[in-house]
Amino acid sequence: MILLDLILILLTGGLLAWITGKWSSILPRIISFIAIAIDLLLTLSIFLKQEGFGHTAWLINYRTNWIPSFGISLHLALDGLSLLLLLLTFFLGLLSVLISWKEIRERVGFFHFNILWILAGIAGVFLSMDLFLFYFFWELMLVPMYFLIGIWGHENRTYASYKFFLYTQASGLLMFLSILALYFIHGRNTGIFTFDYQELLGTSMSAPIAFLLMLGFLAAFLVKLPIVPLHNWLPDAHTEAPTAGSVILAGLMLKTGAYGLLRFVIPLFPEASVRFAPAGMILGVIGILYGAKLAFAQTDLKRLVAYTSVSHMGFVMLGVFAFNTIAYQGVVMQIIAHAISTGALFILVGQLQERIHTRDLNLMGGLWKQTPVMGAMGLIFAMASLGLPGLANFVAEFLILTGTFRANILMTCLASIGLVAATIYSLRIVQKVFLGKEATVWKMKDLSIREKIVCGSLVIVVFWLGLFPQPVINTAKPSVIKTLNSIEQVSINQNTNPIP
Amino acid sequence: MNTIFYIAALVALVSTALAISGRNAIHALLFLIVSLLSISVIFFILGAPFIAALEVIVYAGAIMVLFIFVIMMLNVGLEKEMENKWLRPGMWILPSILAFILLIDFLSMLRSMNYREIRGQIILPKQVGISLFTTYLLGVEISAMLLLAGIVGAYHLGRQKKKVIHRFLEKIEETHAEAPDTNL
Amino acid sequence: MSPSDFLCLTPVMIIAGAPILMMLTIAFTRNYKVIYGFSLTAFSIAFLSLFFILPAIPCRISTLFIFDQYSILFSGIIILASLLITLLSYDYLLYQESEKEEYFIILFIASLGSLLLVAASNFVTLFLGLEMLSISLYVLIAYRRSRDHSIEAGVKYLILASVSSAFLLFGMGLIYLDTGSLEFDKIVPALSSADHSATLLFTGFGMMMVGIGFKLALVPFHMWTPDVYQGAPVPVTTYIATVSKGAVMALLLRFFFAIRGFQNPGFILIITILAILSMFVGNLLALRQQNIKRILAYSSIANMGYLLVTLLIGNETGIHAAIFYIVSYIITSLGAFGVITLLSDRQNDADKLENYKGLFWKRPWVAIVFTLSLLSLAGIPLTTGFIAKFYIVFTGINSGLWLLVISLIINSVIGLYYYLRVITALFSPANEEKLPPVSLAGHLVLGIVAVGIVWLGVNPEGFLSLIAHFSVL
Repeated sequence: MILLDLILILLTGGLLAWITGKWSSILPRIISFIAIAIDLLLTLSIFLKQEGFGHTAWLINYRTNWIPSFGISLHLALDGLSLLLLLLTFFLGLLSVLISWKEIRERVGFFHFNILWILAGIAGVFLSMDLFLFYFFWELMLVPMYFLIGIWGHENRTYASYKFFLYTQASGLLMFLSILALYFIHGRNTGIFTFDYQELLGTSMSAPIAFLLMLGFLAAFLVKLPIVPLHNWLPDAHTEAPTAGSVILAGLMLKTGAYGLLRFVIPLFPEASVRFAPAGMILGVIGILYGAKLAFAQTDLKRLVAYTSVSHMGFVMLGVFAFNTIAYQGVVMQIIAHAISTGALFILVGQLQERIHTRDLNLMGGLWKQTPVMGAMGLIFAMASLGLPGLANFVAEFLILTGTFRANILMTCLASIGLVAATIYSLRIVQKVFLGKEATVWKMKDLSIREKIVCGSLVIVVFWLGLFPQPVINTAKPSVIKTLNSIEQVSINQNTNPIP
Repeated sequence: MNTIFYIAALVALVSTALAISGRNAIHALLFLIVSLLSISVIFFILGAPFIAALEVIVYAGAIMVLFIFVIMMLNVGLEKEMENKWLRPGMWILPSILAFILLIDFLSMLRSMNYREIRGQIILPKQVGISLFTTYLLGVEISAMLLLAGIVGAYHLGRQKKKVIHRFLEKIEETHAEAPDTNL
Repeated sequence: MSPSDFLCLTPVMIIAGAPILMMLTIAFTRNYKVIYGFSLTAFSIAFLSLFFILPAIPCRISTLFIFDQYSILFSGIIILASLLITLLSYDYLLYQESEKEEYFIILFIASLGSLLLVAASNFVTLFLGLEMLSISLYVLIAYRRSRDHSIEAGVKYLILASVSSAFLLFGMGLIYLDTGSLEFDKIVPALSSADHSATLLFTGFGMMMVGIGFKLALVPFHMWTPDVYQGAPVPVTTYIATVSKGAVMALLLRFFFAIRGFQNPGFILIITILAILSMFVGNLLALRQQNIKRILAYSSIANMGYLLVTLLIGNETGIHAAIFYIVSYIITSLGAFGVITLLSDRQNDADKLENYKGLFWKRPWVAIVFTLSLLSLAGIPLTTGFIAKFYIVFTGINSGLWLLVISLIINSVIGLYYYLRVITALFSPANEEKLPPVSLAGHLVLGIVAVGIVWLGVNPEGFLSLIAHFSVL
């Protein structure tokens, strides 16, 4: 029930924020802050006493009927992976409210409504263990995000919001077809027609069909992730969205794709995933290199950061198709580390834009003198993004590369080039923005206390994850092992070992 | 019997086409009457003398004649002129020829009349009446409601607009008042 | 006719009696408010009387009608929709220059036609009902005859509807020739006899589909739709989109199932072609429209295409899916057109995209309902349109109609684009244009619609079981 509450708190908070927005521009902010804070505290309390929940498949499992005519239930469940992602969701959600405190001045109520409903959708995605419910939340987060980009975005917002919506909706519908096909195949096999994840696991079907259905799921997740031929919407959406929107997009929405791969694609279609693995790893490497190359070529700072996401998410793809524990731990770390570091970079870009009203790299330079604190923050996050040891991303990328090395040496070597490229573009950010000559003389203030709190908390998390990643690894472990079990069963069944 | 049917059908097609393409309302109506007459001949061939008679009496006889009267009355005052213009030989000769063909067709059928040649079973007024007022009673009542819609609609759409006093507006109003009222 | 037959006919008789009483009232005094109140009362009583006759069903009246659960359900839908349209019409017609009382008389006769359609079990009733609906609609479409497009739309509808009726009649004639019966139920038994000709039946059904396709605005019989939607008064457009299409679809469903059309490869071919054409043509043509009524017109073409898929499912889940889709389409259309009606002022209908710029900031509540309706048309979760589309895809996949299901999915994406265009306009910065005030009745309709859209979208279980109970053909 607590899981349902988490979502309901956000939904009602959103409605309240919208309604109170009519009279006051402060109330919506406070309401959203409180709503997300409650959720964060609730999840934290679960995180802290997770040992107490025992070692069943789920930490918490909640299930009740929703539309029994179709075999749809309201099935929410929480395991280590979901728990980490929920923590991340509420943490970044809280920051999104804080960073919008000054940036958003118009239509405050509706803005916070959208933020909270996106968070509710994302939380729902991370918790749903019923495929229909999952799809429901998957779509639910699109509409408010569309509004967020379309109303509070920058110059080219309409175009970006259309593109975002159409890409994700089209790919989502393909997944939906696969879900339905899976439902009927399972129903015909067993006579039980249900969308329940647990029941659908291990549905037996012929290899070509399984591959086809997996492609349907992949379509949705790879668009969200995004992987290179399908990444087209991302730079536009990230660039045009308001800061909070970019943070949520990069930090949370992309992660739903990664989560989908781990939670649905691999366990539901283990054999097909093994067959797809070489292609998946190649796609991942292409994403890493191509994203990095494009990031380097950008002059729009926000677009640059957006492309780094493409590059970082390539690592996730690579790790997912390596099928071993170390790589999977790396993927989970990467999901969190990227959310924090890229989110932080977007926040910095937002703060810069608020001050100098441009995102053009050529107009910046030498800002360190005026804003030393901001410069230092920028340096830390850029270092995190390039994978400096001691910071979160290093742990993630190291684990992924170690894991993939056992699966495919060539791909690992190619992916390591991505780290070099990351160094280049991250240093370029620092060089172009904070160091070097002043292209224009800007008058600007350094970070305010609110902004310092936001950036400071991010810095703490980045260091904490970089130095003591063990709690995260421990929490994720059962889920990782569970996911890998399905693959191992395949290898046992086939009596050959496709994973070196 | 087939020849007779095809002749009647051909007359029906030709006259209907002419009714649609005719520019003058009165002449179009004349062709329409011929068309209805030829359809009534077809009904007769099919063994439905009662419907054939109704077709002549109701459609060709009552409704069409009413139409012609109404259209003529709308042009009151110009009778002499109109009569000269409308009743030129070129205008009535074609409908007459068609009607004549139909007459020959019909007479030849009557002459060779052999009821066994008529397709299907012959349905007499009594049977029609019985089924109309038993099985299809509700259908008849529904038709009445259908006509009500037509009447109310025709009344609403066909009604002249109230005079608007302003002289500039009057012209505009006139052009609008040309709304067709042919909803029946 | 026995007393129980009369009992079954009560709702129909109320709807039929109302216009006559109204005419008598008008003969004494013309009072718009009285007629309006009378209409509301009559529709409400007719709706309540449906509950009253529930114990008496199913009953057949001669061979013309069958009042079963299915027709009662649709009667309820028709009457409720007509009631809501009546509420919307009052303000819209208030400033109409000529007499406005006749509008309600004809609205009743149109609803009567629709009620007969959903209870039809015979070609005679089918034709009479359809004609009653058509004739009423000619008048309603051209009702505000001083407007430029009104008469054009009316005449267009009149001519095309007459042509399609001719096809329908011819088709019915051919089927009669083949099977020797006008009753739906007697067609299937006749097909096993020796003189049955498959060609005749196929041609007959094809021609009937011309007539029915015209009413449903299926491609290629859709030409009238955008012009009539644009030219007609908005409440009438609403009526065409909701009641008229719902009733004809209900009839088609009953007819198609009665003749076991889903077992006949020829019929399947016809329906498949019509469905796919309607989806694609409707959605593609909608992409470039600037007029909201035209956008919705093309969208309705596409929606009817989706709905045709349910015919081919071939079991009762198909009927359930169809009913759910029709109901959700009616609610959604009432929302979309209701908003257009309420924003139309004395002179002009609010049918241009510019009229809606920034509506969300000026009239948040109206804009929310409009957004909900558009999202529902696009099939986004939380709205009834999502569940409705889901239901069709769901049953479609179960019956292996992959071609149709995939077309439906592709078209949902295409459709999303033009719905988003309208939504974007709603949320763009506001302009200075003044908006007419929205009456209490208007708010009531919008409220009902909004609750309906969200309720059926989030918790459809109750309604689903209602449908399952009522959809026995």
